[in-house]
Amino acid sequence: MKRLMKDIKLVGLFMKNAVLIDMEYRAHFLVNTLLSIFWLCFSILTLKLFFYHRTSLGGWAYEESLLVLGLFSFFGSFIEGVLEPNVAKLVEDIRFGNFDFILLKPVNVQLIGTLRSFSMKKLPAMFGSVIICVYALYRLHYMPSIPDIALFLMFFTSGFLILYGLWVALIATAFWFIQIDSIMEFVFAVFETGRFPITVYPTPLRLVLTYIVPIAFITTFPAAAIIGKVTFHHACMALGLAGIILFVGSRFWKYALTRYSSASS
Amino acid sequence: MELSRKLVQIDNARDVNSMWWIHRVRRGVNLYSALLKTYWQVVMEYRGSMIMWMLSNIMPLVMLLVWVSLAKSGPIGHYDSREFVRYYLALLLVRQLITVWVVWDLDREIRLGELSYKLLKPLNPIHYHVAFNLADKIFRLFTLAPAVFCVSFVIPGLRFDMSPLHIFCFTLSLIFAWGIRFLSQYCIGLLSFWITQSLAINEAFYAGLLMLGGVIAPLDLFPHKLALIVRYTPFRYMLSLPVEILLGNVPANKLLFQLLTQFLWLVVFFFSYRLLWKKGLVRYSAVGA
Repeated sequence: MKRLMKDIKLVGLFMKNAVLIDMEYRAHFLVNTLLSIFWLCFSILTLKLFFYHRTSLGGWAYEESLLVLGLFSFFGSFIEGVLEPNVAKLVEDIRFGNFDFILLKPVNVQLIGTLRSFSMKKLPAMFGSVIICVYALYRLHYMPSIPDIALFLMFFTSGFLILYGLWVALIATAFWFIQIDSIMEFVFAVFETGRFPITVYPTPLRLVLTYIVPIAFITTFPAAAIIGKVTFHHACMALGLAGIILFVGSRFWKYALTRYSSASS
Repeated sequence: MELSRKLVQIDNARDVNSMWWIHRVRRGVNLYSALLKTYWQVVMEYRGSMIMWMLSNIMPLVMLLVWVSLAKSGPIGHYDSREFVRYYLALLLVRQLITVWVVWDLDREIRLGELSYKLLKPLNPIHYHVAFNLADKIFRLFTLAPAVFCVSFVIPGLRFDMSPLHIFCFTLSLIFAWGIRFLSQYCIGLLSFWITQSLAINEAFYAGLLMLGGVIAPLDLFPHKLALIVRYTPFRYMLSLPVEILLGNVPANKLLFQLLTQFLWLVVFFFSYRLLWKKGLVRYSAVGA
């Protein structure tokens, strides 16, 4: 417990640093805010184009799909703003051997390796995604009940954990390949499938996206939860899955660490 | 005597003139073969990453799956499932061949002052970028050709019209499309002489390509009024025109007009590039200079 408190405090400190750094680049922040709004509009227009021709997307109405889209751009911004900035840092540390200094510190190495830097520039996008979700609920005239919200929170939390667990496993491959930006690009591309309700895809792909690369648990299921489309049973499954992925991810990270041989040694 | 000497002079001058032209072509060929060799080695060194980059081109496939699922209850416009598959496979192919990343290189070179080294050489820096991109295209052609062959062998419905004229029109429009995409991105990169956020402009431009270039949907599926405007933006000429030509969706009487419009956009971006390069160089001051 004491260790967990220490870890949380550590991440808090990292965050504070990140805010201080970002405050220096205000123009950059402003431009990125505009860009985020632009991309959100782009996503909504894409969805509108589908619904210009049809009234449902894999059994989901426009407003319901909008909910999935909101969650997609929320987690997408989370990846870009919170998870991704750490990749460049880690790659640099491995390349130049600076990772030595991190290993020497009396803190959780996985935490410092994967959650050290944040970027505020995606904060407006996350905020915008929440607005989209709220708007979609408003249009649906659906007032989520307390159990709905509880279920949603379970899925939402497990969404974060699944994403982080997968990310840790992914970032750990840097200990082998060092330059992993093309792998990252590929992962982003795969995450694109989360943009639409999972039911739109053919069955084999749906199974893959549910059980192997569980993107469905990140965007579709939380959306389904808040409009009362899933059961408690599913939510428990999601949390269980998150636990497994988190465990496997961090075991893999530890294994990858043994590959680290510093620079020029 | 006087006259004949003059004639010889004129003749000589003409000779020198034509020689000058040949000389220039020869220099260009030598230059590009040397540059291509160099950059080919760079590309080969990063072949693993290259394949990953190529595989990252998933968004059209996601769109394809969504459209196919929507087309289950009947064709949309004149697109049924099979037509969507044809469209998006052609798009995947064309998109691989018009990939351009010059804005990131240019932005870095200008911001960090790496451009100074290139300016010392007696060659316009654009040639390095063009050669690098061409080397990448050769690599992609080699990797894609077997894939295209296999797919068209297995699924006869995916074979495209192979008449020489058709292939010629497609190739021409593909080269134009690449030119527009390359020069437009080069122009955005050159904006780094003035501003620090040129990459953000490029991102917005890329969104335009996805939306109006035919990735999200074939352009004839846009609402009618919008489709009319969309047909004249440069984005269409960077991607969807070669795709439509390859599929044989452009009627013969409109083909020439479309190619001309495409060429016009190419010219527009070429002159924008000349202008920005000239003005930008005057402004350029490398870091630490």
